Amino acid sequence: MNLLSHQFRKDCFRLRVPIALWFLLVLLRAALITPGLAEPGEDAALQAVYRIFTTLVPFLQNILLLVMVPILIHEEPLVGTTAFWFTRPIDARLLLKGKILFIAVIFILAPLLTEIGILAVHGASATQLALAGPEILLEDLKYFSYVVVLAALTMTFARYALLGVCIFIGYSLVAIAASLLHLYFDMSSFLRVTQSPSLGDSRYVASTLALIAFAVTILTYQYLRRDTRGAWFGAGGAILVVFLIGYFWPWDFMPHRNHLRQAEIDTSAVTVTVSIDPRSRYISDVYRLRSNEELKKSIFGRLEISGLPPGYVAEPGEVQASLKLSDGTVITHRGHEYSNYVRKWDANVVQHALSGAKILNPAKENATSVTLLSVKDDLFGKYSTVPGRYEAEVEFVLKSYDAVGSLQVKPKARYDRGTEHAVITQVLKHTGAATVLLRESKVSLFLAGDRHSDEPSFNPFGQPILYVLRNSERAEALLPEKDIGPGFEFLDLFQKRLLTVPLALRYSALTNRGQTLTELNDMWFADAEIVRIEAKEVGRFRKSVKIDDFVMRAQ
Amino acid sequence: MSNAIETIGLGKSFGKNAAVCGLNLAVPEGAVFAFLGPNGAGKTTTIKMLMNIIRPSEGTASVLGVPSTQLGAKDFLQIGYISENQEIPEWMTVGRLIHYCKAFYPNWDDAFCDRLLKQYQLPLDRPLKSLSRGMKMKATLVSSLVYRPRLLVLDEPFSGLDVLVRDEFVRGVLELSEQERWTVFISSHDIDEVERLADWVGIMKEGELQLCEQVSSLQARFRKVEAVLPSEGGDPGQVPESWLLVDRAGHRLSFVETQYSNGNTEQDLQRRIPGCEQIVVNPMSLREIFLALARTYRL
Repeated sequence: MNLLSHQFRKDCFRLRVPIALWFLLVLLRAALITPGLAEPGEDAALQAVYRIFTTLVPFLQNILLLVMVPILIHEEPLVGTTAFWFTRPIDARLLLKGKILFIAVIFILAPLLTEIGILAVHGASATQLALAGPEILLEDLKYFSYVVVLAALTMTFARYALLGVCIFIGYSLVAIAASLLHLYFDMSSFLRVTQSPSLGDSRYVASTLALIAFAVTILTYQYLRRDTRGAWFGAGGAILVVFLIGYFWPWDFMPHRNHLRQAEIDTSAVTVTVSIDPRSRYISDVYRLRSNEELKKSIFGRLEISGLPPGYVAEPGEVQASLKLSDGTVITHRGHEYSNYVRKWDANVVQHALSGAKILNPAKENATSVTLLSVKDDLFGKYSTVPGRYEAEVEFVLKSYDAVGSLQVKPKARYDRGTEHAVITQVLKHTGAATVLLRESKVSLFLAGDRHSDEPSFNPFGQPILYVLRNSERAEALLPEKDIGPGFEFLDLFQKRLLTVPLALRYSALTNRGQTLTELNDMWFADAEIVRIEAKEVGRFRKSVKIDDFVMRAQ
Repeated sequence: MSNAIETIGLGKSFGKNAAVCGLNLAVPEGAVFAFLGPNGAGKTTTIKMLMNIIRPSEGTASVLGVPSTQLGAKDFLQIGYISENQEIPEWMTVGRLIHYCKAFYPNWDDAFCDRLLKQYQLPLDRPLKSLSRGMKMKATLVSSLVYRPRLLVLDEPFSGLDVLVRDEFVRGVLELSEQERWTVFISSHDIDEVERLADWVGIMKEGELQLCEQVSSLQARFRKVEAVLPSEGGDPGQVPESWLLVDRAGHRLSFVETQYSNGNTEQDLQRRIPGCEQIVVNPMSLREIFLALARTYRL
């Protein structure tokens, strides 16, 4: 009889109930995110149940895993002197292989194949599927590494649980201490020196691989030597090394995905000036974290960009500026506009993408308001009305707005392109307004470049997708109000690679003063559709801005 | 005759506390060795070192010719080990335990197993956790005997067992060890339990071996001596180390002579206490010897 299979079957029998539950959860999770079942349609109650389950099921899976792994390892404990197998002809290597086989088949392979199957159903390409495997392995094994090592270094479930809680509390305290240190010392320059996003990804991959390698080494060592003290020392050293790799790994081997090259379209005709409209300029005190920080003021102004090809928009990024004053004083500034996080859509460019339909409710704020300068209070007091020569080098991210598809304004209308899907679940009509409940899903693979390692899977404030309500017959369109909808709180926190986000899009034809922009009735809706517009980054370009008589306190 | 177990200067310390110190022990093959001592004497620590459960701090030990620190899976094919504090997989039924263990032993004897299961009246379909302590010990015993180990190590196997179960257990081990010529190494703090079993005895106290001898040799040199002392001058003074349990009640003196050789004790007594009369020297049963040792070493 093959002893490995004998051992494996024994463990399966021991854990038969949790295994059944585990597979039930794996299948339930698959069912919940498989198209069709994932769309409970207009039934709001069913949608609520669905949302609860999509969060609950992965949570339960994690809890189950936290319980099953120690039971599996503690079946033949590696710590203590009373284990049954110590004095039986049971080879430690055989046990190790048996446990690895169990973990591989039950915990890794089954969910891996299921998830890859789901991704395939969602339209993932062969390349995406090929990258999904290593990504799932990388992230699952990372989680496993902690659990398995902790189980291998404890004798009973109670000790495992207690130690797990202690480690969690200890980790939290360290994190709190680190965040407190951040308040007084700028650790970022120490920890992530000149880190680019791809270097961050490289460090994440390298530290995760190191973590997995250390976990395998400690596990093997503990099985072969049963030297718990040595294994604990090893684990402590491993945590330190993984930490150091995570922050100081030098080799940037991941592709530079978001390092956009120079824009391929000709931007030589693009001109950038600072608006001379005094209403576009404002001055603000800079927030201080600590009372001993210097008082500063920021001077904001609007950039006016012209010469962009139709359908394109330029969003300011990095600003490097200087103000040379007549007495030789030079005030310098370097800042970054985080337009990606608070995305503003340029109504004119959106209108262009809509093939001429007029946007009835364009947003008032302008995307090109930037910090022109930040200056210490004493200098501001001295020079605020003194003219000087302002020079700035501004880097812009060039984006194009494209209408990629449309959906009828009715439940079950859907948009499908590759791994991106959207479906309308409800349309609620109000007097002069309508709310469209829509659910989006997309595949988001870290290794495929869909997100960075430290980036959330879903940024509710910076989605590069806009749903515009358009009536082509009337050539009218409405932008959704700034409402991220109920989706945020229902995000599937455990599902990173296949994200389903419900959105509530409210379109109003009424102004704040009660003025009607258009008659939003059934006739209007008969010819209406939801147009999906996507903003795509196509490159970067830099422009210089010069003002000879720049005065900080504009009149 | 080769030794099934042999230790040279074996020791184990936990921090500054020496649990076992300089242990020199030889257990001949085929012997039933009673390893006695009070609680905390270092018996279990010694056994754990012998079974390669813990590593010695000093000295060496060999078990069936293999250095104890190198005892591996294949060596345990010839060793049966039962301990009061061994954790058995209690979720298993008796039948599943037998089935699980069987796969690891090529020389598993099914007929022998069936016979023992029947003899001990073990219910195959009941989980071990639902069985009494005695039944669990019997199940462990069956799983440790049916592959006919050359060496059977029993660490305090009688703790918590009632008298009937103890008796059954002892009889079972005794019969089998005689039939199969196994070496049995049994530790206990309860001398009554091993009295019937042992043909060798070792006594531990505070981590050191106080005595290690064949029982027949013990019986040859142990005698119960009683005498009537003279009415005057009957004080024996400093008694020799070989006298144990010296008791003087009125004119009567009694003690256990541990170095008896024919006629020597009587002459020695006459020399020490002139006028001593009615000297009676009686051989001692194994139980009496054990009891004398137990009282002396506070077992």
